[in-house]
Amino acid sequence: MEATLLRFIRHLRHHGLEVSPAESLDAMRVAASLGYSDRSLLHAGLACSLAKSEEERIAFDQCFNRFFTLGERSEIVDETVASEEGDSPSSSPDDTDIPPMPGDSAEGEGSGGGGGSGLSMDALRAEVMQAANEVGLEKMEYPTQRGVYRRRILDALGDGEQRQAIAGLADGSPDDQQQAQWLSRLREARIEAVTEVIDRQLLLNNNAKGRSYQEELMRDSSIAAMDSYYRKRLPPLIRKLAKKLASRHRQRLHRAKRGKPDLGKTLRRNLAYGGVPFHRYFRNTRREKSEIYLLCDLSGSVSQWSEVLMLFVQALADVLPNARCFVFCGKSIEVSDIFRQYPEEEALAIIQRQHGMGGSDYGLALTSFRDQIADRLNRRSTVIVLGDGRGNGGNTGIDALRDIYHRARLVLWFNPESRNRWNTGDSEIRRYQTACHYVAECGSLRKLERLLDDLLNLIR
Amino acid sequence: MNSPRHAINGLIANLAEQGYIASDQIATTLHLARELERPILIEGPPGVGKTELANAASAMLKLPLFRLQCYEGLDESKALYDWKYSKQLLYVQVLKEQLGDILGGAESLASAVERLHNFDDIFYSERFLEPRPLLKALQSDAGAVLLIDEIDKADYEFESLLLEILADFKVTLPEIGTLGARHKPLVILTSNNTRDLSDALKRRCLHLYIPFPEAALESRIVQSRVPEVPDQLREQLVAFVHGVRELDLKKQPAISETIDWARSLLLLHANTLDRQLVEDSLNVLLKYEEDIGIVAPELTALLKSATRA
Repeated sequence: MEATLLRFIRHLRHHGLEVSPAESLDAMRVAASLGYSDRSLLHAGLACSLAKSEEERIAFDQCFNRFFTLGERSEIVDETVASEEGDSPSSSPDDTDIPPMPGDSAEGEGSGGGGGSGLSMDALRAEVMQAANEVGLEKMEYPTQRGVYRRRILDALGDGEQRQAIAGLADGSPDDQQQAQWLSRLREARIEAVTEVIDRQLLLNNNAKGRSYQEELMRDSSIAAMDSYYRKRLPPLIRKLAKKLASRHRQRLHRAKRGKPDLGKTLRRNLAYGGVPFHRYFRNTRREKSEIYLLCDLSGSVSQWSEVLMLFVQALADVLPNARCFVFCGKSIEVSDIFRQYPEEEALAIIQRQHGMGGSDYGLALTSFRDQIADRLNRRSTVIVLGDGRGNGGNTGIDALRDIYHRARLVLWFNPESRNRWNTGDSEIRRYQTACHYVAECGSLRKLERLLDDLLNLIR
Repeated sequence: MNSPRHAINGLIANLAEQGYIASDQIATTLHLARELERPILIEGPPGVGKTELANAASAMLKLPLFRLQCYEGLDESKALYDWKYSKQLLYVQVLKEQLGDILGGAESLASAVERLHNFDDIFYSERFLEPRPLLKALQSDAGAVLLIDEIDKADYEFESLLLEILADFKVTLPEIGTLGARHKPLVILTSNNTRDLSDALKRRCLHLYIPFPEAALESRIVQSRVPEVPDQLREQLVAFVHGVRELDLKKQPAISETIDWARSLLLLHANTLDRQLVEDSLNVLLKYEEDIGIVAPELTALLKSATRA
């Protein structure tokens, strides 16, 4: 049963649960302690050792039901062949794609080639499962490999020989014809079973490889160029990236800074030496947390970027607790409350609905932004503006930004446009450069991630 | 017959005796925690009985409960151990008086230092150790239940400090060395999920998520806690609370609020729910003015479905 449990754990990993080897060992002990006879008990036991958060628990429940419902029948067969799963044929997929010549299936003994009279559906499935294990179905990664693996499994089952036999019998006596009919029915059932097994395996593998490849791609490509299918997948990816960033920077806030000497502690700790202060102790000074002000352009050209940045900052709430979000087309409006009230994606939709649409007016935006935050700005404040700096030839609001620049610790401008398009047409980014500490290009998710990483290094 | 199912059913019955109605999942996790000697990390919304489980477990196992309430700034001298400074001070004074005897007759400085080294020093020894909850739980003779409450409120450093205890049931004191547990305690950690706990901590624990209970279970919980409430009223109030939880509230009423509400209805000598009664006592169930504002317009519909059930 251990092999089955291991396969289940692999299945969980494909579905995004991060199960460590230590937890696998725990699961083994749980299973050994509870036994496999009581399904609900096993479910509860494995859940508490493998799923470590509410979301993981939901995913776990789904996986458990799928795995142990679909897999139940073949469990015993899996057991017997589990040891052989390492040595799968490593031939290139292309040569098995062609249906084999009727004569070359020499290795197939043809267990179902007529001798398997009265084969039940379960036995058929077991046979197919065994063949699937022999050809290493578990290694299937993409849906496009479906045809290849179906061919391989059928070959392992001696399908070519059977077809030949059916063809031979079809022209013979009525008895033979009847048997041919029976055999072809059996063959169809087998093909159906093979398809079922392959589909199940795909479901179990959850296209994990394909998705990780897709994620890599998404991190490098421009968000403006993505179609809606990929854009929908952005929020989970962003949360994942943000979690990584947060865990990298979490520790640093607590880095103790040496403050005034702690007289009481020094005295107490040096009692052993008769009050001679061999060891000195200092009070820690609590580092003041910095504040972040985010101003995002919501006009058509860059609104997607604004959404991504806001999502990112919300997901970093753990390490950036004092972030306030503002958006603008015309006047700047604070939207931090909306994020507090609604889940992130919903909040973005609301913001877009209420404040989106329209060309950007940087003059009005920056001036109203300054008016709202000026009295809170100090040497701990960081201001990030996200926009392309294209004010449609209107007022630039550069004076307001300069005011902010003089007061705040750090003013950053994130520009989603690629650098070679800056200062072309109505882009005023050169003027804004004079009133910012740094203007950065954030053309892809990877660049944005790096920028935020640097930012966290700076301000924490 | 000592099958796991049997043991777990026994556990549920024993917990029920302590007034704690456990679901299968809770009992299974508790059973496994004792079998595998693993800590349990309990998460869930406030008021679903996370802390209560530790109390019930300690009463059931007849083991002392050591409770450590976490907060920001909690450190090892409050959680793990401290030195008895005043006693150490006295010891130093005693030592000073004896110093003459010890060093008496030493011819050279070298031999005096030699004698000093041979002298048995107990300044840093278990005798001067002031155990705090964590160490107390480890040193307890018959075993113990250790409740580390609201671990999410503590700092990250404290989480790291816990790892050694959670994994090996050992603590290392720099001045003395490593102290092991006399009897491995049952450790229960609770978290309200105000922040993500580190993976290292989660990996070492069995994870138990306690959600709001289903109506039938909650009804049994109320019955066990407030047995005087008539059956009809109990069913109605539980149905009502379940209706309220469907709404978008700032703070959903938890089991503890349901129980409080049942108690207050009992004081008001109610036999069934009616509109006036609910309006008057809604503030027991809901803790925010805004929430009451949300629920008030829905009262008629909620009451209708609750009294029909």
